[in-house]
Amino acid sequence: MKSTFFTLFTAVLFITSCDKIEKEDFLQGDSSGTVDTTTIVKKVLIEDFTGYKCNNCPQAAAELHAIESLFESKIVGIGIHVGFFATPSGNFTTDFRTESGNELDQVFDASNNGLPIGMVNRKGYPSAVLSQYTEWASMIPDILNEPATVALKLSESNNQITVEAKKLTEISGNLKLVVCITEDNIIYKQVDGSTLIEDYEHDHVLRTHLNGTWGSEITLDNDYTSFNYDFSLENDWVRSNCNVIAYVYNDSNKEVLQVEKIHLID
Amino acid sequence: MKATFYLLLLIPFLSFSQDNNQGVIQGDFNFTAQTYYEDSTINASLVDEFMLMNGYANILYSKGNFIAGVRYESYMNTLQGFDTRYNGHGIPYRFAQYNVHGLDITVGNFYEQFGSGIIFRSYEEKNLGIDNVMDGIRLKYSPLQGLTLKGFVAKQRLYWEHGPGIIRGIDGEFNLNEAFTSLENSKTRAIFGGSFVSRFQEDNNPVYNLPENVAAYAVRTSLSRGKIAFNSEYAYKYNDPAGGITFNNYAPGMALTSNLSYSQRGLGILLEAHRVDNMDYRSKRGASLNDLTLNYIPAISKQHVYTLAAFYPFATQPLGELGFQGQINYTFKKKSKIGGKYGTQLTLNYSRINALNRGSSLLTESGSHTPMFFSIQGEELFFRDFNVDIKKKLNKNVKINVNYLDIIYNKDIIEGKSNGKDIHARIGILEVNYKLKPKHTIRSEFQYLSVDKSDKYYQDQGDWLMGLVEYTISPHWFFAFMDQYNGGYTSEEKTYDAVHYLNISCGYSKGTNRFELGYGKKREGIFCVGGVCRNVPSSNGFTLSITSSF
Repeated sequence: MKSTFFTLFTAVLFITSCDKIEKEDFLQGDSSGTVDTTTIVKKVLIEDFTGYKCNNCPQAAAELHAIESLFESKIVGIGIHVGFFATPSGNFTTDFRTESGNELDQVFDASNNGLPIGMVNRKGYPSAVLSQYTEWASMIPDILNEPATVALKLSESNNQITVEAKKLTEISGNLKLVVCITEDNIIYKQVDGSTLIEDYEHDHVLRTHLNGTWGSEITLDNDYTSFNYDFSLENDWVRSNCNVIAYVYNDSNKEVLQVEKIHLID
Repeated sequence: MKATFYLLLLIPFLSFSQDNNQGVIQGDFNFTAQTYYEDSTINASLVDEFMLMNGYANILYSKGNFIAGVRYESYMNTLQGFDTRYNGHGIPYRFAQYNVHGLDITVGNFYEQFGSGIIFRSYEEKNLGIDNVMDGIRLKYSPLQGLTLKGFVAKQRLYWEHGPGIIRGIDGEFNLNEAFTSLENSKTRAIFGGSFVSRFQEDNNPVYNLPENVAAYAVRTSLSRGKIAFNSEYAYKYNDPAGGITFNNYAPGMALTSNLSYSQRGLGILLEAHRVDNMDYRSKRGASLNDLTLNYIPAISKQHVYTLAAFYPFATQPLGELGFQGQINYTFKKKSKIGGKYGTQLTLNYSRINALNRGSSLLTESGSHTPMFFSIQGEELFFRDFNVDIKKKLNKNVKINVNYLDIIYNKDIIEGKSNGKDIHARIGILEVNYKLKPKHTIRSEFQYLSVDKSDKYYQDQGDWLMGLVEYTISPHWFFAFMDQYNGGYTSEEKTYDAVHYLNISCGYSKGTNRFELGYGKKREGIFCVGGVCRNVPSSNGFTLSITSSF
């Protein structure tokens, strides 16, 4: 009697606790990347902590590209080179680390947790702010479905960035605006798995912050307010590969509320 | 909620305090602290906190069939080389357990293992910073003589949090010799077992359909007759893709481990083999490092203890490997030619681990690969180790131990590097124990590690030399001096100077209290698990460790 009971119990557990997915069902029929674009949408910032000597980091970079193309213009990526795997040594002579990137690494404790690792809108601060690249895509649909609370517009002329921002609802907590520059298409060495790629294309590379790592405190209105920042590019940065990224975050929980990006043109 | 739980734990203390039998309280304590100084010769840096520490204490209360316990842990802040997510302090471990009429109930935290751990092992290893303790409900019951059933539903510890997966597991073990009285005294012993584990984790992937319930099962047997014993376990894991939208591997996992041993007085023979394919099983999809591991497949190579012998250690590659190990222990008898007056112990050990045929199993929307079951020729070598260990007592006061190892180490696979070449290291070790007079012992070690300088191999950090002298005055004192010397090397066109890593330490113990104070330089190393790596920096500083129990 007793053993029959246990056999039955085991059988029930066995049958109910396993999902086997058939090959034709691996991919979903239609992607859920479609979001209403008639209203202002909440865009998503993905920060990818990386390093050119980190052998799994190219997988995270590829995932970031795939996420950008799946969700079209709603994703903004920043690649932050940090820690041991980004420290020049031997043949790796160019230094892609930045002062502000190092500060982000320290505060969010990223490279200590092993690279690659990242943050999606810095959600989950402090204990669960870091996520693996395999988790990023799964976090995005929910964020895109949240109503946008801040609207951002970006423009550039004569090496001056103009950020226009307004609030769409009442927001509690101090808001901060961060403006930074990234560069795509930098051809340099990268370790990938157990091979060394000499001419790897590094995209999203964080170059500098224009108003400090933690940005400037701002007060927003129901109408657009403008903020201007002058910038200059260093000699080895290619202007036509550079992007200006602006994001607003809530200082109380570090969560990014809105992000916008423009590509610089010659 | 938490407070209520702790109050509940106190109930037995209160309600039984009037009893004559008040139960037993036991505990143990462990504290390690280190200071960190800047040292440009070994590239060690100061830490902001100046001093870092790890500490914990276990308190257990037991009375009759009841036992309850807590563990307080403190990392303020975590020692270098340990995961900084431990930073902080608190009580991550608390449980209550009682046993009534054969039913054993545990609520709260518990460690558990099914079979050899091939699909489930929850354990802690403080020295490695591993603690994947479960938190939930566990039941054990024996419905028939010789049959033990275990089941649990729980979440798993992740530093100060829990992993997202809900884990369900059940295990049954049937001991033939206990079940049937007629077999009670049989020379043949037989145990059969089976286990099943399943993880539930929500799927929010926008592109792929990921399984929300990922299950694994295993069957095992342990047979012995006289001097011969055989153990084997087979495991199967259902599709467990890591997530993400660029790549997902839906291939099932599989592992088979077997060992055959023969032992008689003075002779032991062990033959072992395992094949592992896609068996990284965690309580969170795609988790990395040491986080949230559900299973444990022990390395099929000898675990070396001497410092330079453990320089290039191998860890099981759960994604896929085929490994073999053979070992012979032989004792040359006393008064024989080789045995001498006191006998001589010889151990020969050989292990070899390679990749599965053209890599592990793969199943994606666009292709698949199933490796041949058995293939050695032409497959990528992960690790090979041949070693000899000779232990001999020369006279009443002198014991020696001689070791020789010849290791090939695939640094690229094991540490996630891209050197393109393996390391070939030969290591020689001599340990001498000399008893000066009663209670006074000198132990010394001389170790030499030499890397193969031919073009075929990567030379890593070149050659190392190590010396250790330890003076023990039992039962209270010990003093030790150690020097690890690196002769300098060239890596990536940069030349590194020769450097001495000197360490001195002394210890004092009285009763169950033990104090140890040390000062010295520790060398840098890379710590990798499952392809994700963390750098453990070199350090220079004082270390204090205190252990105690009651």
